[in-house]
Amino acid sequence: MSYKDFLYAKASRNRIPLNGTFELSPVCNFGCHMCYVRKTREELRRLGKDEITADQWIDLAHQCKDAGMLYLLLTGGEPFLYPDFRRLYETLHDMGFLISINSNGTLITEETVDWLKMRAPARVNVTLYGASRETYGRLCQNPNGYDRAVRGIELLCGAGIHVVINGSITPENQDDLEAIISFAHSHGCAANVATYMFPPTRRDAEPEDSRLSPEESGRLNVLKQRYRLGEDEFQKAACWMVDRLVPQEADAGTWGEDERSEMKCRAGRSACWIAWDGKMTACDMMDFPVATWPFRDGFQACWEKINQAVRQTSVLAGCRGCELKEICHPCAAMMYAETGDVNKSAPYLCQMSRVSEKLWREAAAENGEKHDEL
Amino acid sequence: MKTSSDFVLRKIAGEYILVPTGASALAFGSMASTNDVGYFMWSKLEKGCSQEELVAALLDEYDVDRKTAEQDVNSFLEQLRKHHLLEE
Repeated sequence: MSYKDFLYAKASRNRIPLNGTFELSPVCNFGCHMCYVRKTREELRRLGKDEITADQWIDLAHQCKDAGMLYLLLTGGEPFLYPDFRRLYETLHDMGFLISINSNGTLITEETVDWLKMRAPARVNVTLYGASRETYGRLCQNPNGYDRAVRGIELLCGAGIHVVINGSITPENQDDLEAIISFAHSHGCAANVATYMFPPTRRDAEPEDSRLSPEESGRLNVLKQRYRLGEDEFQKAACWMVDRLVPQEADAGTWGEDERSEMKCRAGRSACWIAWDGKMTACDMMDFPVATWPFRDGFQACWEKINQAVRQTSVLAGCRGCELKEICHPCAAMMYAETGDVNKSAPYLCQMSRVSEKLWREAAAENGEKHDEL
Repeated sequence: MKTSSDFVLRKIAGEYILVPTGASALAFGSMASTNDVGYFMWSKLEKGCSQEELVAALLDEYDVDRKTAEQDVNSFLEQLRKHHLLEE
């Protein structure tokens, strides 16, 4: 167990919010169809909503620190567009948080990097939405974004700041999957590319084509591992995966009532999310089991309410005994977003996982044939 | 001597964790952890003290002989110097 895992295990046991996210603003310079947060400043004005001020975030951060928060993610929207971002970031850094930043990278210039070097973040997660100006034009409504994101990433890497390349694969950028992963590797960065998109629980309406079909999502989920691992490691991973696709009967014992009676991820146990409108939840993808208002009621009271609710919540009954759990990695938020019920199974995810299973089995069989030839 | 002002010592989940701030964060990386004795010595050094005062503080706080206290202080200071955590 790494020291980080050890800390999370201790935090979960002792009900400490080790990890928090401040979603500073929904404002972004991109217009991605699948985004569940994005708003323009004009839209905010029309809604009559204001962003939470830096001083309000700082006051909340003191409460978070007192409660034991160490890892802090700053996200948006695009956090570099948040008014007073630099003063807020500097204050939070000096308080002793290990800060990560989610960004699209386009506002990171040489001057930004010089400033960041004076208080380096633990990590900058840059989402790369494609591998060309065309893809950025199609998906993000911002063709220049590609060149600017690449420049931002290269400046960060050149300064020795830890960068992870995130990706969100949709019908509009699926052909760039290999290039996105290849870009990350060629820049010495880990690639964290999601081929599964949540349905829009935090969006008003869902454009039907904003995410892949379950079949495409399942196919690309396996293909990305091929790109990520390289052929030899991919073949080994396929054998490892197939070994874990155990029959339902044999699996039933390890997925008994006690095992799955609570949410098992860190959400609400050692992690929380505070959205730009001031709402605090266990994770960003669901209001369930409870939403709280820490700027009104104080952080500690809200954390205790969420933590207690999460511990009393039974989830994933619909997935109990399923042999595809190693592929699907079902979580309460996925089921809630897909079906509105954390205890139902989701047809989209079942279909996606069945396609992945077929491809993993085919890859493992190919590997077996190679061994036979040897 | 004093601990570097670029580091914050935090107690989280019963663990003592040193978090780099300021320009040190880039070179130092993520964080470091220490134990109860390390926390005790860091707290004294934060306010500023000599090596001999640190040994005396350990002898006051813990039931150890002088030789052990001196060894612990030497070893701790060596680690701090190695990672640029000390201002002398």
